[in-house]
Amino acid sequence: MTNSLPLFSTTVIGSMPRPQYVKDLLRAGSRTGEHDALWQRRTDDAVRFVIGMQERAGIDIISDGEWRRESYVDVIGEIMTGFRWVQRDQFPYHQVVVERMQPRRPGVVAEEARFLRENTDRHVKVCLPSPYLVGQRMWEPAYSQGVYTTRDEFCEALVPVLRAELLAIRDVGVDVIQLDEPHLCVLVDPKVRATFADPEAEMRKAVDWINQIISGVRGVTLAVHLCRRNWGRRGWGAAGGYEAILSHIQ
Amino acid sequence: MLELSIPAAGDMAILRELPEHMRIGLGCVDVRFPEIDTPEQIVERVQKALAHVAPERITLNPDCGFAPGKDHDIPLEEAYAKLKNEALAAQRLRELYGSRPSAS
Repeated sequence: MTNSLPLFSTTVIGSMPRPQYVKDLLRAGSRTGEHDALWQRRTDDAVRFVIGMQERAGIDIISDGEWRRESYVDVIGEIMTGFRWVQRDQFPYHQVVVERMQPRRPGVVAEEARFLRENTDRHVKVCLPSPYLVGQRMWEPAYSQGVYTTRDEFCEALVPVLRAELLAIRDVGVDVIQLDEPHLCVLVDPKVRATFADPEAEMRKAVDWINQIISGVRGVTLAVHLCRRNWGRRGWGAAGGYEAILSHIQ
Repeated sequence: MLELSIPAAGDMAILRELPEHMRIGLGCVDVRFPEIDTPEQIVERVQKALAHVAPERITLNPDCGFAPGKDHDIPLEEAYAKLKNEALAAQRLRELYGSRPSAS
């Protein structure tokens, strides 16, 4: 593995802004499946660029900028089939589960991780979405109820998928795996809590599913990312301190 | 990894309540707005946290990803400038608090 970290080590959360060139590569890649050798080389070269950028900035634990992903949530649609773009008002920028998930490219995130590992001497981190988060964004009653009767059932089906991917990423030899769970954090907001019949139960579910994914996993540092939605210039989507989460942390 | 640079995140005193074995990814760099946090501003945020937790437990990071979705329109240059200042802040903090390597 890599050298030990200094005091006050620095890292990123994961995603870096994508130049139009990278957005165009993503559009060509995931929607049309045109992963030919030239596309692959260009994408790899782009990731080398963002790796170099973080190194040059002086960051100790770096990511691949998530430049192979359209979104930090929809990456599940790279691992498994069953997702589709639909017209809807809430979360129009996420796909929706419309069929029972089947393996599409299990280990695809581990391959992202391998490239990162092989192209830097720094400590590296890789992110995965948490089941509760994916359930909130990608299960829509009108489209999903036929295949996963409840949102919870969909989340439970995600647990073994995400755990398998996490173990594969671990085996590549990354230093940190981060589970993204903004919804655990937005649940601190009284306005958000009011929209759930039992907000504490929601938090418990989010935490339990994460714990199921990471249970017994050794040989990698695990992290959970919490924030109040990132709407760029428009600010954030929820407000409140971390007190409500505390009772759920072990 | 906790965002803490925005006012909506609440008081840092809460960090004291986290279990001792947990490291804290301290969200000390804004990712949403065009103003570039200076190293001094970042150092100040971390120092607020140091009132509640030991230096060995802290890793510096931005509040969130710069572009969780590909269409997030934050300029790449802005992200790069913020990351450079984050690294400079960390250097400054090591000078202030001693640069012994953290237990890993």
